[in-house]
Amino acid sequence: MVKNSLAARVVLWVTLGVISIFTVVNSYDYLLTKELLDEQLRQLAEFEVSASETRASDILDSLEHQTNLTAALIREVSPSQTRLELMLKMALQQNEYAYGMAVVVEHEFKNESYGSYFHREKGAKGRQLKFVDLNTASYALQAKEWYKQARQLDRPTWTEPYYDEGAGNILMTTYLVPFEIDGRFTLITVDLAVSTFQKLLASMEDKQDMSIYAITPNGHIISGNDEAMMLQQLYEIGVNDRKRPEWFRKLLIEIKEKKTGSFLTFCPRMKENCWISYAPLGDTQWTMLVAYSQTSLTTQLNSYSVHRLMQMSIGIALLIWVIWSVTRRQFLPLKELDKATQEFAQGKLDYVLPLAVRSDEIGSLTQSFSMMQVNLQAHIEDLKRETQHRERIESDLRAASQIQQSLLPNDHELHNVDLGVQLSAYLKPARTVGGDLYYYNLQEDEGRLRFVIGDVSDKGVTAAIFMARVVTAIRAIAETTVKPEALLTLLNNQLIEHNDACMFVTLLAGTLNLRNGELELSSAGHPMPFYLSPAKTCSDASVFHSDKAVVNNEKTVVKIDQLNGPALGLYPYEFECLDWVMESGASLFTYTDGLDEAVNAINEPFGEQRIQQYLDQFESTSTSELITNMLKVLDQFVGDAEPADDLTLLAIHWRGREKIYEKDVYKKKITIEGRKEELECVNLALDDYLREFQLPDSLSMTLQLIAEEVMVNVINYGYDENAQGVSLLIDHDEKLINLTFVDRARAFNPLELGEPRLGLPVEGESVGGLGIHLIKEMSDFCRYEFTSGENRFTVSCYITT
Amino acid sequence: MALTIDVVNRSSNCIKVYLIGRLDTNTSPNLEEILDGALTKNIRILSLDMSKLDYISSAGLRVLFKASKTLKAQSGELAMMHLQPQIQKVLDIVKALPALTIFKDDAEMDDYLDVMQKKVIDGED
Repeated sequence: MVKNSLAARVVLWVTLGVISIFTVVNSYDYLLTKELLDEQLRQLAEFEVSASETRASDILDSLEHQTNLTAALIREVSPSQTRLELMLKMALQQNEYAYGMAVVVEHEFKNESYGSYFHREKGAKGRQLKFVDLNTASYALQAKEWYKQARQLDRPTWTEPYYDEGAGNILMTTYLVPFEIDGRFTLITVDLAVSTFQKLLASMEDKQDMSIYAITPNGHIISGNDEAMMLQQLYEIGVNDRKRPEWFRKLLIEIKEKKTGSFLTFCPRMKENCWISYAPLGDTQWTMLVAYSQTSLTTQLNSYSVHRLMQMSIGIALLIWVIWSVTRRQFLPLKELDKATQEFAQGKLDYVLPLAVRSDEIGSLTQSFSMMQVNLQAHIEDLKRETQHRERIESDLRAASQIQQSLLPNDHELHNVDLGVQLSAYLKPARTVGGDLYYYNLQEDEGRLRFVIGDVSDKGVTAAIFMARVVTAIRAIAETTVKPEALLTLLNNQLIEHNDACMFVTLLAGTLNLRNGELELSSAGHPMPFYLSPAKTCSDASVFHSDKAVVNNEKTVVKIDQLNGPALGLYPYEFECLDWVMESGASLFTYTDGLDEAVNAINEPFGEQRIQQYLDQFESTSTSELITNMLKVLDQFVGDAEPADDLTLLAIHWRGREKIYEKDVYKKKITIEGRKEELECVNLALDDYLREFQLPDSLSMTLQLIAEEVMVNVINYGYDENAQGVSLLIDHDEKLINLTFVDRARAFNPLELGEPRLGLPVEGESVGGLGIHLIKEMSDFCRYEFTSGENRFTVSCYITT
Repeated sequence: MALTIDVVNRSSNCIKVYLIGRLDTNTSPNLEEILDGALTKNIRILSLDMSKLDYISSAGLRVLFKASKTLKAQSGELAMMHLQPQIQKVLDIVKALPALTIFKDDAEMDDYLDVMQKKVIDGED
């Protein structure tokens, strides 16, 4: 769906674009927000430090203050021991954070030295104070670190946390105020229980994200809740660890220098990054440290992001919907145009296009479509008109073609058995009408065949009109003119007149004498015919009385020598004649240049050589076969190519003079050389004949017997060296079947052989004449004659007995 | 078509010949030659079985007549049997039939033979 819809694609890409932009913007926003929140956290951490520092320092300050005040007072007043202890107790009770206070006085007189310590009772009511005498041997005051520290430093300091064994018996840190009264070393101390401090720290840790630490001057860590860190030496954390981070070293330095600051690092306790903020604790040498984890930050950020994401999704969904609606609405006209195009494609050009309301691209497109529709319709109308016009012209041409056909001889085949002549013609114009022509006329009484073949210059309608003129003129002239050269001369003179267009026609005219085979040819620029001379296998050689003819034993094809002369219609000319003689069984083949100049797909012309080749191979005597096969060969050669010129073929076959005088008709002829062995051929021919014409089989034996007897007689008695074979002509009609035996030997009448001696011959008698008797008895009629140097013996039998 | 000639010596003085095919100007010299050889002086009967002879022309007839003459000269006879109709017709035309001995079948010939033998035995002709 997405692939096929423009609207959908627009929406998709816009959406993708929007999502990308939103994503970039939101990422930026996220980062910005994170930074902001982070900064807030840092500030919070610092604030916490400062807040907790304030509180803690208040406490420590008050303790210090208390102690200093007490010491100042003592210096001023120089109370007695009892008085001093009382003052201590009062001070202790006034400060809830103090665990215990002690006073130590060093007298030169040992027994004047004393140390008194008061501390709160655990669990008991706060008012009750416990007294511990520090000046005992078991306590070993002098050995105590805190004492040594006070002695050494000679100024007020805090101790590190320690466990006060024997006195307070808790973990504590003590503020020491050493001074002198009358040269006597005096020390006032106040104890702060570490647990108290811890409770303080713990109480300041209000959230889970926060850890507060106090660091003593010597680096001990005191923590409210972090057991792992409790009383660790700051300086020793990770001192053996190579990977002690940089910030840690910096931290140590900062602390030593009593600086305030903060940094971000990974906090093992929180297992998260924390902001670490530190500040010195008031005037003391303590430091406060707050570790604030980023957990809250992360949580806040996440919830913020989720909200933003949801907003974005909703926004995008709405956006898609809006874009989709808008796009669809805008693209609606395109759908209309698409539908219109489909209708056009199916040929329905009348489809009504939507109105182009807008003036934007789609409106312009719609207008263009309208124009296209109008133009197409107009174009189709034009085409229709032109087609009608062309059809009219073509139908005129077809009518003209029919007229042209009628100008040619009625039959394109001629077969006259009496005169022994066959003629076949073929004419095909290149276009509907053409300029080729042929004409023939058979005068039966005179035994003359006249023929003409011609080719008007060019082709098509112009040639056709001239062709009509030529043919009409030929018919008129041929009525009175026999000689072909005269025909051409007269025709030429006529065509020269009224020939402004200078049309011309090549023509070949011929006259064939069907009694003796004499042929007269005359040519006006037209190719001469091919002459097919027959093979001579039998003894039907005719006598030639012209030295031009050649007697061959094999079939030959020659092109008769060209007789030159101009085409008709140009200028007056006296045409000449060429004499030729046709042999019996010869054929003549004439054509127009539509044959030899026909080209195939690669523009190769058919050529005279190919014509010659084909005629060489042609075996039959049938002119229609000659033409049909020639056309096949031409068709194969030309293939799919268009015919370039009008094509005309004309073939003539002359059976020969031998049967002319006697007007012999026969259906089958067989010739033998004169050997008895050939009788088998004769018998086969006879049987074939009976089969072919469906004559009774019973005739077979009779006919064979007759044939054998006649031929044997002829061969034995009538034969000589002039004979050149015997021919048997077979013919039949409704009643009779006729066998005619023909030979050219000396005259010999078998019937004169004499009556045979019938019955069994007695001793001494010859056995001749029997055959003739058989012939006479087996047949119904026989007749002998000798004409034109031929013996002709005809035997006839009734077909049905 | 050819001619097949089967010669069977039935006895010392009787020959039977089967003629199969055509007896025409081409094939008759063949028969003539065989008969010349077969018809020795002692042969009295030449019996021709013509059941498979389809054709006979004058050349063939001459050979038969010649054989007949030869046999007659040695007191013999030419006999034929099982003539096909067209052969019969030909022989009829040349009016040779009455002069020929035609047997219907072998049995008849045998009988005739017996008679002839008797004749010979009885009275030498």
